[in-house]
Formats: sequence, C-alpha cells, structure tokens
Amino acid sequence: MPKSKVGVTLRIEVRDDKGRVVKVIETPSRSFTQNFATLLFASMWTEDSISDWNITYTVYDVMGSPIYIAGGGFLYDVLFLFYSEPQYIAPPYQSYIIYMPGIWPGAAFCPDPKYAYGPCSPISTSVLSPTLFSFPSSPVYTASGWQMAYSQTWTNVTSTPVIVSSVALVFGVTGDPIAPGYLSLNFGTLGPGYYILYAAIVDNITPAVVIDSGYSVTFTYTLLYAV
Amino acid sequence: MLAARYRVEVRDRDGKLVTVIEGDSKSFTMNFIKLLIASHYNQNDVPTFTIYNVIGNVFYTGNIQTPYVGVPRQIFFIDFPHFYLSSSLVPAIWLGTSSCANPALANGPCGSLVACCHGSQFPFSPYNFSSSAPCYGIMSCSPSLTEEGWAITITNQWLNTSHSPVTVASMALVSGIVAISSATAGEVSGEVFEPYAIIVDSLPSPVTVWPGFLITVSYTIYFPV
Repeated sequence: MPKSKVGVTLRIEVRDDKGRVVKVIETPSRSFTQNFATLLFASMWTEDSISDWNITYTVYDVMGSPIYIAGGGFLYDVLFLFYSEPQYIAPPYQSYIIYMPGIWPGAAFCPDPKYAYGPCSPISTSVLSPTLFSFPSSPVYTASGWQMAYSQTWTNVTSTPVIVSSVALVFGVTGDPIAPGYLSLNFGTLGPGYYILYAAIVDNITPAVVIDSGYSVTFTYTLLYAV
Repeated sequence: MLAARYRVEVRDRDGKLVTVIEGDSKSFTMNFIKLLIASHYNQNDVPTFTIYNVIGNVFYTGNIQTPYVGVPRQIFFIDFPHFYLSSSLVPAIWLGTSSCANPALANGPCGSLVACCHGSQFPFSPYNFSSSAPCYGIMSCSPSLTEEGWAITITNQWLNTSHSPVTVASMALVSGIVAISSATAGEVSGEVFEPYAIIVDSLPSPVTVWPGFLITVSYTIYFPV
C-alpha cells in the first residue's frame, strides 16, 4: 500500500524583539496521539451503544488524568472534540500551567509523542506569554487538499532564554453529561458546561529552539485533508 | 491531516472474487470541512455555513437559519440504528450508480442511491451486518497503529437481492447529525436526522454487481504518526 500523500506540517518561526524573523523551521508532524484516535472512535457512537457493547474508552487529559468514556464513566459519550476557544474550560484546567486550547510549548522532549498527553514539561504562561489561538474560520481549498491552519505565538517575557523541545496541538473535548449548551434530542438547549483539554498532536522539535528574552515564537500546524 | 484509501471487492454467488479495486480516496467533502470548522466554536459564535445532506437538502450550522445544527456534534457519528431505532439507515458506506463530476463538492454517492438502507426499494441489502455486534461488526471499536499511522477501517458488505444487475460507480462514507427545524425559547421541535457524506469517491471504472453477487466496500482513514 503506498504511503500517505498528505499529512500535517509544523512551522516554527522565531522573531527577535524587533519583530525580525531569525529562524524558520518547517517539518512534517509525526504524531497524532493515541488519545485523539481513541476519542474519534468514541465519538462515532451513542452512549447507549457504548453501554450496550460494554465498551470503556480510556483517554488522558493534558494533566495525565484518565477520562473514562462508558456508561457511568466520567463521560458517557463524546460529542465535541475540536473545541478551540478559551471559554467554558473545566475548572481544573483553568488553573493549570496553560489553560486554554492552542499549540502548547514544552521544555522537554517526549519519549514517544504519540502516547504523550501534551507537550513534555509544559512551559508556564508566566514564562512564554501566549496570544490567542488562531484556528480555521472558513474552508480553504488547495491543490493539495482542504487546508486547515492553526497557529499561536508565544513571547518570552522573562530575562533568560527559554528552550522549547516539544509542542502539542491541544483541543477541548466534551460529551454527556458535562457538555455545554447544545441541541439535544431529548432535552432541548442545555446551559453552559465544560470542556476537558487533551492533546491531539504532539511533536518533538529537533533540535530544540531557544527563545531569547523578548523574542517570540509562532507555531503553525497546517493539516491537509485529501482531495 | 487525513488520508484515506478505499477498496472494493465483488464476489459471485460461489464466493469467488471477480473484481478488486483499490486506490487513494480523492475527496473529503466541502460539507464535511464546513462541519469540522464549525465544531471548533461554541454556541455563542458558531459561524453559519450551508450544508447539504446526501440527497441535496440544505441545513445550516449555527442557530440563525433553519434547519440548524448549532455547533455540530459527533461529526463522525455512524450509530444510525441506535439513534433512531426505527431507522432504515445502515451505516456507513453508501453506493451510487454514477460517477461524480467533482466528488469534493458532491453531497453523497452520485446517480441513484442503491445501497444505504434496509428496504425492498433498494437493490442492495446489508450483509453480515449485526445490530447486536459491537460496532455492528463493520469495524474495530478502537484504533489500530499501522505503518501509516492510526487507522480506522470501516467495511460494509452489500448483497444484490434484486433480479437485475446493478452498476456501482461512486461510494461515500456517510455520517449523520441532528438538525432542528423549529424552536421556541427553551424548547426545540421538528428534529431531523441529516445523513451527510464525509468522503465521496468515484470509482476509476464502474463495477457491475449481478443478482446474488456481493460487493464489499471499505474505507481506511489514516492519521499520520
């Protein structure tokens, strides 16, 4: 079977304190996580089926805590798995090292990114300060396929250099019974609920990039859907 | 992000393999991409996109124009039998009699829909499809790690139960979503299940499935690792 012709590209752009580009790295992304693949499978079914078939899907959030998707589990089903906005994030994550969907930097390499729960040793927002996460707003059709671009910029607000060795594309996921207002077959529109943060993609950056004081780094993931 | 491959096999009444076609899928659809984009938002700012179901009827993301789906949920949902117990819809790969001019812009398999459902009005009936089996016996219930990445393979078998040969020229991986056709404060009504195509492909050459013959169709979607 021929190799896949499409995939994910990670672009890393470092700028100095005057906004000049000092480094660009562009590399194929290597790792959709097992957590993402598992959530995708879980999202194909109703909570009744998951319960009837006696299946338990286990995934891990960005903190490494297990989330059980099963009848009587923390989630009964998976309804949304690409949530990208800062609102409605579940309370435990609001006080975590990084607290919203985006492209998170880590200080350490991950031994096996496809099994990682996020970037390894996430870097605090008090060290690298983020801009808002930019995510797709309309379809972009190219010769290579449908293109979906995600990006986020982080600025070193400390007085010492920061090393970034891994990154992760982090989304919010939710389902019954904690989903925010959505159109439910039985219950109409529900009130606000919460999203759990998980890493859909994790990559090591080799070699690691150094972000000097006052410098910024922009991570861009470009995903292509075959056409 | 995603690459997909398809495989089509036709077997005669004795189970002998008469046709095999395998290739790279050409087309995640625009309808799917719009639903995917809208699923990144929350209920207060979800954009309004126009989406078409497999037979070309319109619905919308967001909450402004009806029928609407709000923030699209479960965009990979294929659990039709458990969702609507009385539904005749069979997940997940549906077949059409014609090629599609531009599969990326198609709403479903092109020409006449010949495999989609239980019912005598369709020449194909599902075969080896088990309502009681985990994931209906059409796929593994969890991802497998392959050389190409995390893989999802969905396989449907359709038996030509009619008395005439049937030409198959296009196929689609079909998901479904609930749309609301009317709503008042605090209540919704007029819920409609909207099957839509995630992927549509024209076969490189049409295949003929004779009465009593079995066609096996599969999609494998890869997430790179």
